[in-house]
Amino acid sequence: MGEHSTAKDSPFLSLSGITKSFGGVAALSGVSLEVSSGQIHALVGENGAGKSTLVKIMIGLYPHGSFQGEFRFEGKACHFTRIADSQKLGINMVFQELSLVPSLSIAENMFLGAEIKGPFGTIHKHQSFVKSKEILKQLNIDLDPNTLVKSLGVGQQQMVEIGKALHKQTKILILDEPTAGLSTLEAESLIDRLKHLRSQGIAIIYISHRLHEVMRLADRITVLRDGQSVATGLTNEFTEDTLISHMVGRSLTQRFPPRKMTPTSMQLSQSEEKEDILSVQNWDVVSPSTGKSILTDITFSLKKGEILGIFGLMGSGRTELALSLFGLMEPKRSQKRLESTLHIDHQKVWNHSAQDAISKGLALVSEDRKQTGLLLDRSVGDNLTLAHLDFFGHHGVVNQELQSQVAQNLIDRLGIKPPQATLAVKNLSGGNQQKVCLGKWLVRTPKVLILDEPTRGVDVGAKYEIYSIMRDLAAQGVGVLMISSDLEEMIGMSDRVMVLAKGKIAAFVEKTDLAQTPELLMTYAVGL
Amino acid sequence: MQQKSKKTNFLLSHFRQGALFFALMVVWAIFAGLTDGMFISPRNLSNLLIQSSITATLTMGMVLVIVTGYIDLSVGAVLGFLGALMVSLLARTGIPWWGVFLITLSAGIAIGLWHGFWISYQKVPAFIVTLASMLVFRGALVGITDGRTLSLESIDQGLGGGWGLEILSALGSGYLPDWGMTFDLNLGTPDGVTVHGSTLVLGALLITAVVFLNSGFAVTLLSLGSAAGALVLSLYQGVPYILLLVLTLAVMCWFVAEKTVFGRRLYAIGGHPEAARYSGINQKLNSFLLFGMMGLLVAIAGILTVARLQAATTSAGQNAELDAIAAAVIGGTSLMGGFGSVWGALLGALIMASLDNGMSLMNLDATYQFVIKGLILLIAVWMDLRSRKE
Repeated sequence: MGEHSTAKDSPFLSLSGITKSFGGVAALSGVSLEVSSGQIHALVGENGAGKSTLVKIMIGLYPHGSFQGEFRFEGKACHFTRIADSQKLGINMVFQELSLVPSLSIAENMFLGAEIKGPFGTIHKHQSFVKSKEILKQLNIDLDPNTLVKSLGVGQQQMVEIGKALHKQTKILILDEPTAGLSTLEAESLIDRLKHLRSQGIAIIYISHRLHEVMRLADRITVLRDGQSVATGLTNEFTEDTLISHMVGRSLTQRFPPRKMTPTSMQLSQSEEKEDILSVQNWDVVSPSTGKSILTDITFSLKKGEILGIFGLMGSGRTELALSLFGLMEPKRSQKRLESTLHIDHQKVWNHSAQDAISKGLALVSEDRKQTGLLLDRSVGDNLTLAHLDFFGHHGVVNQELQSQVAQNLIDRLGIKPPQATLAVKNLSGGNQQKVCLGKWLVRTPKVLILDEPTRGVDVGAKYEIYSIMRDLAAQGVGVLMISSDLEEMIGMSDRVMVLAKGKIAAFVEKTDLAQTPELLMTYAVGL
Repeated sequence: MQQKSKKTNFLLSHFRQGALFFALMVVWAIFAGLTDGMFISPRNLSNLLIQSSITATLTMGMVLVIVTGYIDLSVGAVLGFLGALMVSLLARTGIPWWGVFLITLSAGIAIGLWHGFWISYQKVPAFIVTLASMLVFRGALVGITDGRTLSLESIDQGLGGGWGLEILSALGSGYLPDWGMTFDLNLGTPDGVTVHGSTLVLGALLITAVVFLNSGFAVTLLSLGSAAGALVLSLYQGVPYILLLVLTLAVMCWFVAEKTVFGRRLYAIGGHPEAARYSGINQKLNSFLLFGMMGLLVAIAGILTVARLQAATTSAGQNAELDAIAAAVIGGTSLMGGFGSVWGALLGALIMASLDNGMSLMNLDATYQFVIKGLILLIAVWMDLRSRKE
């Protein structure tokens, strides 16, 4: 309405004082960001720092009114209520997960949902073909638009996805970890094409963990940490080291409980040779869908009572390591000389399924509690007992009394609030849901507990409680594998850290070295 | 705040059962009005309960199948086939009646496990596996009966029949004896009213059980309904045997669904397959066994159908799968899996049977009967989906 500010003077896109919270947990607080046309603006930060939340606001996935703060594009206030609103203005995003239909051709995918129509509302095939060809040319790609998407590699699919965004009169292109699934070569060519797009006046918001890419590509960088923008400036004002220290922050005091001293743990620490509870040799895993190698030659062991941190970026294979140990993904049977082997408590095992793994004493708190951890509509009690129903069965009938007794014990032990076993899990806060995820493996104490991102989306108080439980378990002699992309947690909790980069072990870092140089982990993980 | 959400949850979860009961009452009231009270006469209500028994039996199994995330389209055809198998075994072989019953039940389980094998271990969608069986067993039914009706009357009692025929006849049209407890009430009417005493005693026992167990609103509601039903039945000929059998089956299915490890796993698999897998639940084995259980219920429904008709016909069980699915869904079972209760399904079956019965009493043309049932199914599911959005 009465806006008279000239679009030229003001930044192309500006966000100021953006605050957004989920169920009382702030994901963003007072974030500001300014992007100009023909500029590549990188957003960096640890997982959970708020990058994805911020871009979801820009594309209208979180509608106007669900956050506080001002959001302007080309000088006008934006009141998006759905994604189509942002697309109409030329803001397009390429998601982390590819959203292409494999059985359709490149041209069909590019115009999916925005088909070029002929005179009778039919799809104008020739026109789509010609336009797709143009877009591919704009991206410098020599591919026939009639090629089926399923016959393309991941890198090429990524390009098609970008092409899909381009035909919509894109002014701002948002890319979330575009190189995560790509080989070095594919990543290089993607970067070249992004520079090419920039020269055509398109602004690009680029989210990535790969700092060397960011340093080479970006014009400006904004660092987010814990939902706040902690630094912003031209790329040449930063070095990779300063970026990392901005990302990690420096306040590493007393957010982690101390190690527990118990008779068991004393015994464990006194004995010269600590006993291995888990040992993994030559672990190779390939992706069941693409056949690409995900993990190669992983060899490590975990001692009783040890917390071994596994650090790595997205796509480093850390989650796949957890899944394959837990029987949800099978490691490759030896085609080469060395066979993948797994020993638990000195016994050689091969887990075909989760029930195999559980019977061997493994437990996995999975990465995504809503997708794979919880039955959200069922009660806390039902969820806590789900993985050990046999234990509660008496001739196949669930012993309700035993169940509610055990559930109540766990609720007290974990401090689950509110402490009611009959409440549906979906009504709990993120932190308490996570405690339920953890609690379901404590019905019987496991030998090895694998935690994948144990505190993602969990508030600070619940974090401390979860850490305390981990310490308790370690003190009882449980071996703990903790996968995390949270550096502070990695440093604060681990006895030792194994760093994974691109499916291989990049380094082992001992406790003593961790405290001195937290940047070390990130350095190994980005593969410097 | 948490206190409040708990309370709303409680209300919501029980609202659905209550609403269903209310819907049943509305349907009854409408039919009572349209038929000048004929619909709610003790005689007709007694008939209605008998009519709903077979659908109810199938629906109990169907609920669990749908809760686990599958579907079974074969139940009608398999029911017809198993009935014909039983009658022809009784008629043509010298196998004793109990042997024939056992073979029929085992065949039902075997057919169910056959489905389970293809669905869980070979990963063929349940829709296709049971659609195939629907065709196969519809064909087999025609084959076994030669396209004719096999009547129980034609069976020589001396051969396989005997007790078996007695039982079938009792299940089909028999009532619990009154053990000499009949009261004649003279309420001023010229004929007086005969009250079936043993049924009243049974009703009283039921109410006592409910008060004693007090296991939740839904059970209370249904048992109170049954108690009221017993009172009505006592005004006619008492409790039909078939109703007793179906109620016993219902209690067993409810127990399996709510109280056993097996049932708990089925709900987990249907509600959230990934979470179930990550929790180490053996989806294949549990699904396999589920279909075995469904097969057993289908076999029982097949025997009951023969008992009701006193014959095996080629059209037995036609559309029974659709009635069972509709009843389950009207009873609040989610086709997305994870939700559904046996008691809800029984109410659903009763609503479906009420529609059939009421429209027949009104002498409504078959054309309209189908149309109305179809539309009611659509609207019921639509309303259920809307209420779930909350």
